[in-house]
Amino acid sequence: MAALDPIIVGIAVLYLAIVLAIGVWGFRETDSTEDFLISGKRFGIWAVAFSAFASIMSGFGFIGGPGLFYDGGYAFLWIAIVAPLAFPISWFVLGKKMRLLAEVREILTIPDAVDARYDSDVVRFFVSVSVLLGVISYLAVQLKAMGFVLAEILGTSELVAVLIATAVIAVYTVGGGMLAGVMTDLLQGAVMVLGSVVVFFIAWDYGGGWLQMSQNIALDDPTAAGAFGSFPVMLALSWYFLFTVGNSGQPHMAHKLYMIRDVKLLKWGAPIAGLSYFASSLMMLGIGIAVKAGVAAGDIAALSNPDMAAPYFLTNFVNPVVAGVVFAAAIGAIMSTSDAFINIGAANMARDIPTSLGFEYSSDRQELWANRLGSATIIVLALLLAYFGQILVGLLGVVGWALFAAPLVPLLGIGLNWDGATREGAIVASAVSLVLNLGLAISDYFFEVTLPHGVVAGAFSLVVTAIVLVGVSLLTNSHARDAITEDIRKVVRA
Amino acid sequence: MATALSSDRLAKGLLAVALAMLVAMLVGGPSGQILFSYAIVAFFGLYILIGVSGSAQRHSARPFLYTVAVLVVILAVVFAALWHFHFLNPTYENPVYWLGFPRATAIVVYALWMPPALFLMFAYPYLFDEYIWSSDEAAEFEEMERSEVGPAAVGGEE
Repeated sequence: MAALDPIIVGIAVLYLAIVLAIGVWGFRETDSTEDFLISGKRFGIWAVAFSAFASIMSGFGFIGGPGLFYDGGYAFLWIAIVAPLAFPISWFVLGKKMRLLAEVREILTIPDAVDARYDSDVVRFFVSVSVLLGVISYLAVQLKAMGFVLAEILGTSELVAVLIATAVIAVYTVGGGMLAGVMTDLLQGAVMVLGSVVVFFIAWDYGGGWLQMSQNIALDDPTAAGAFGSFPVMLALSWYFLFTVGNSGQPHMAHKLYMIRDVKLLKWGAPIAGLSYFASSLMMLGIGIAVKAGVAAGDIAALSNPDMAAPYFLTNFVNPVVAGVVFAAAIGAIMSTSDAFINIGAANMARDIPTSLGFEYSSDRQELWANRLGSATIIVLALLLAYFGQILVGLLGVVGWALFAAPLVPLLGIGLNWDGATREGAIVASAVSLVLNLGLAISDYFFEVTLPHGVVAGAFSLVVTAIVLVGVSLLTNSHARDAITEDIRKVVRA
Repeated sequence: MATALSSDRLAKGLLAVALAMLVAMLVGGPSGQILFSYAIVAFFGLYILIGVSGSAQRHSARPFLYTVAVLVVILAVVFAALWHFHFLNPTYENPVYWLGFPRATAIVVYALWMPPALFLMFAYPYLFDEYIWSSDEAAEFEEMERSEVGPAAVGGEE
């Protein structure tokens, strides 16, 4: 495989060097576990909101998004359009609550929040396992995506490319923790927005405008240009529900809310995150549609792999400087999601699971280094999984986003706002969400048994978990309000 | 007299809507699809309302009810238009184009994407100072943090 234009390579390498420098700075600034996991609650709203949007916009958006447009036509709109609405919903439901929790308790992770609310190691354990499975599978996919993009740029094999990328991510996450993560997210978010908007207009111009592209897409399959594309209607609607409501149950988004310096700074977070995501999603829409229309019209040869849509368009139709910025943006999208997952996974291994089993550290310094070790372990596990554990990655990929959303939307989104949610309800709901997610994934992946009408497994498990939490809580809540400590009740009623 | 938002009632509402979603998922077909879409809209509304029920208790429920009502109306009208144009031509053969897309697709792109999002994302800062995080609530939490002692309540600002 040949390397791309030297300008593209130069921009990508410069970008990686800047990220490394931020990692070194983060290492020097990180003195405690709180610094490492939630950056010591020191950031303003631009950093937190940009970091929230940048970690949600993953490699899936920048690389998989155009690929899905290429595959299913306008069906992918139902994922691409949700975030601008999802962020304000998350802000209304969880913004203040998460930050106040970090105010009244020593809350550093999402399972910490669950434990504080329900005072149950069992709930903490189930949630930790769900989050850990989600983190490792997502991270494995991100690392594969990173190898795919960087191999295109550098002209190396995917394995060499992923090792280079992993080394860079490892330096800044193992050393600098969330401090370096948020600062790089800020840079990565800005690059994503800039690159996306420019390429959107280039793609729009290349395709001859929306009407021309829509008519071309409809040549082979008229439904591809329809409101639900070539996929089942119920699948598109399930995506819309899962990705909108599920945003508030994503740990890499929700735990950013701990990090803000002051509650009053939350005010402008929803528009900043929502509009930034909107801008950064324009590229996947533009490239996905332009390439699909080009192939349908016979101007572009059919792609062997739908995920090639973005790299193909960038290398063939975009000025090298702009292409370099966008490739850097793609690397940024993947890295920003990866660093958040590494941080969350490390906290799971070093803090949440040991705590739920009764282990305590003798000093904060010891816990900080346990988290660093946890980060390194998560990276190695994900790397091994990406290349030697395809079955598990594919299996967990069936429920992906729902491994987080199904337990956390009911337990935190509803439970942090309703003092009638009980410990019993939370235990049953967290167990049901884990069993249901894994059961649906196994039946789909190994036996090809799926839900009827194209219903997405994750949306189904989210709905069922919400029913279980509220239903069991209503049956067991005669003493629910007495079981909540005063400080947590104040947060729930805030 | 301020209108109250009971989190108990909202939770029961969410339970009812989630059950309706489950039924819609299993029924499928045009009826299931339409029911599911409106259940989603209802879920969004109740989810936001339960999220602000504490603020509503402290200040007033009215601004939040208006906000959610506007959001629900926007989404309900958008979905009505979407279903209307989708079922007029479900195969999308020779469609009528609006602003570059078949009509139902144009509804998704121009009406479902940004209008409800823009409304809600700017409603948050608009309501923030007076109804979401007022100075008296901030003072209460500062006082609480100052008076906290014991291992269960450490942390806070460094």
